[in-house]
Amino acid sequence: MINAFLYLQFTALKNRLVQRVKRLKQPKYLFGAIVGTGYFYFFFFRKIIAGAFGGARAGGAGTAIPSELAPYLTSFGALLLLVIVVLAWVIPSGRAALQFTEAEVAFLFPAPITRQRLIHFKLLRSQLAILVSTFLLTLVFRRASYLGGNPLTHAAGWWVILSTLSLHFTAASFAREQLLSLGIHPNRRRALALGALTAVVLGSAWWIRRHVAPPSDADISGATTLIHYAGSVLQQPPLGWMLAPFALIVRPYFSSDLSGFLSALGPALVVMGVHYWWVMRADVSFEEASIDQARKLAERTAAARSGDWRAARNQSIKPRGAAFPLAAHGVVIVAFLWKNLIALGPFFRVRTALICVGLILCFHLWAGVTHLDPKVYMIISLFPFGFGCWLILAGPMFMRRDVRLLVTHFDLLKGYPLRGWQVILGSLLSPIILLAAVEWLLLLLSAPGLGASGQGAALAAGVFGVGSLGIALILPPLVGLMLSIPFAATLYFPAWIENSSSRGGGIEVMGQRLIFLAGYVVVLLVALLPAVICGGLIGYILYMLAGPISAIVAAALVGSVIIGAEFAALIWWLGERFEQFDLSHEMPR
Amino acid sequence: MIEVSGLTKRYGEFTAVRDLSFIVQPGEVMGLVGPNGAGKTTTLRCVTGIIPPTQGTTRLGGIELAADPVAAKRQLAFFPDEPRLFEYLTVWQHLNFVARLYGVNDWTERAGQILHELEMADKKELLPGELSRGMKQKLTIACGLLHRPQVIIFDEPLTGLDPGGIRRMKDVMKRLARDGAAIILSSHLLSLLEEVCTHVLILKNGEKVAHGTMAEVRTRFSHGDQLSLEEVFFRATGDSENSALPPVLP
Repeated sequence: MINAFLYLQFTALKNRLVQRVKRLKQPKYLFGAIVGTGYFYFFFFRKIIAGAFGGARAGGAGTAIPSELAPYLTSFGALLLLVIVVLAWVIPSGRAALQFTEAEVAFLFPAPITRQRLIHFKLLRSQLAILVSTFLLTLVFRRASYLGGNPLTHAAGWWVILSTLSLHFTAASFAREQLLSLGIHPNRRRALALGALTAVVLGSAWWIRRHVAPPSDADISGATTLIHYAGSVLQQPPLGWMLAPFALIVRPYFSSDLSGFLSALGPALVVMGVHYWWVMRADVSFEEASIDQARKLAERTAAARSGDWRAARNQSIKPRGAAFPLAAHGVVIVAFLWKNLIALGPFFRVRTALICVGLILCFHLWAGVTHLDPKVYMIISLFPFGFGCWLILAGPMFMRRDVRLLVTHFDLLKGYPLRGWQVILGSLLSPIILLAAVEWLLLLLSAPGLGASGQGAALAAGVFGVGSLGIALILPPLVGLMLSIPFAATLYFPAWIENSSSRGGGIEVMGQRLIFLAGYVVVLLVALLPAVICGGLIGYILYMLAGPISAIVAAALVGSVIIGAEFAALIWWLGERFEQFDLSHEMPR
Repeated sequence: MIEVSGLTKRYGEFTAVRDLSFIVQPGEVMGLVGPNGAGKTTTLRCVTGIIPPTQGTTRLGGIELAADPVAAKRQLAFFPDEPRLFEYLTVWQHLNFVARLYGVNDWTERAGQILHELEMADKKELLPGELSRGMKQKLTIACGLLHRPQVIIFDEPLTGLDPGGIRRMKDVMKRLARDGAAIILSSHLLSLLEEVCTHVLILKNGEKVAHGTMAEVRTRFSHGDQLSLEEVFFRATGDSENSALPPVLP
């Protein structure tokens, strides 16, 4: 029977790989694969290859962490593992279920095989994911070069940790089911688990307080001394005793040489074997819950493929009130704003923005009344300023839901008696307003503090205030322009903008995303160039003639007008494209 | 009225629809039938303006679709086989949204009336996720009828409906035709077409193989026999109704 399972796994894997290779005939996947491979090469494999041919230095295989800290790192690893395990007993509320697909349920459950075989099948299949995760984690953690030793032993250490965790999660789900059958409700089980943990933590704290000296100045003088102190605390009983089984599991990973690894591997495999015995001995009915889980998984996958990400995330939605009444007559694109504000939910309303403005003004008032140190004021203001800068770049990526809606509702939108530009602008209106409003709030929060950075001169404050207003003026058209770019990509490269779930993952899909990110940045820079050149030139001339305030006002006005004109032109252009767009090439006939 | 003239749609070398012309007068229901891949969906998408034709013109209510798509689409209601709804809008909010798109001034009274007729008056505040398949179909109908369309297109309208829903859908189609709408009905259910349609257009490989009133098409292929539409369909398309039967296994 195990041969049938192996056949299923390897045939499915082989076919998937063949399919991936075959689709490289399509340029979008080929270029994606090239870029994705290049990314992996430059960020991960280049160092490995250089290390293989150029010695330890090029490979970055030197030991960055002092060897005496290794035991303490094992304690930290064990503590992390303990937290993960405790969460597995506290958080889940579902019935004991093994993850099967609907096809597996249909073929395997009625087949003449024992439940032990089914569990073996599940364990076998989970190994595939574990091996991939082991590979990726080994790459991401730079082959544990900071620990020294051989990357292969660290990879094997990852495999031990992930496999044991996987077995523990399965065993824990069986044990939860057994507790449920004994009449112990999930909440009671959670209370018991948390109560036991709290008792151990409090007991350990009491013990440590009695037997361990508090950290001295020398202990907290640097990272190494701090790790040394904290690690030695974790090794104190009873905490050390409690962490001991978890330390057995993580020790192979932290071993810095082959002999250490081999001596650590034996006990770790024993722990893993105990978990395997636990799983196989547990006499728990998992079939019914597994069937239900398979159905839900299939529904979520189907929802994700159709672009319904809310359903895919298994989120339930409730009816929501409108932000404002929608009259039967008026500007049509307002209907899109009305609809999208309902979708965003009751938090995204004008009253929320006004409350935020009130709170921000209270903060600035408090800073003024208490004569907050200008440096502290500036440091506090740097956070919202930095967040605003990040958001303006990343914001359009968060607003991709509207782009997906454009794709999934294309035929519906095409049927409306609207011009193309109305559909595009209508779809963009709510994200533009939302993102611009958040940016304005962040500007309001950060500008006074950044302006009061100790210069003190009224002119400097004035220049800073006018500059902030200039930025506020530029923000809406800029946000609109940036949000339009993903729409343009959708309309001009629709085959590239499929749901990632419908085309699977893989290096080529990651490469496609990187290509789009690069394209997005290039298009944005090109679009901003005229505004920067014209605004900068006029600002410079006026700065020489009339001073900084006039220069900032003029530059901001010119910049916002140019970006606004570009945005308007882009909307019109995309509207034309939308009207001419031949959906049939993207949809089944 | 729906007037389609010389409609052709090509995908590269492949021609999905070739030189198709027909007229559907107000009060007529034209059944569009054909085997899978005959070009029915492509024809419907071209007629509704969802995809542009390679050649040919379409006039909806006397307005040419390519010249003034907005005005032409104001005459139109398209009912796809799967209800396409916004997951976060309630039944009533859907109708409000559509009212703004089509500028329906008296939408509240009309929406209330339509919902009452469709036995959905108590479902106003429900989301699509809380509705059954039949209820979603009804909501699609309510949205489509709100602006009193003169051109109506149904694509497999009975998919997923229970017997009650099927009867209701047939009644809706018949009543809309009586009220003067020009209707195209695409379906594989030939019994439905036989019951509801006044005209039929049979497509095969993107070409028209038969078109006319039900009686005309029957006469053309009957050779004196009394044929059902199903038999007419197989004769017209040259397919044998027995060819798809699998061999009986021992």
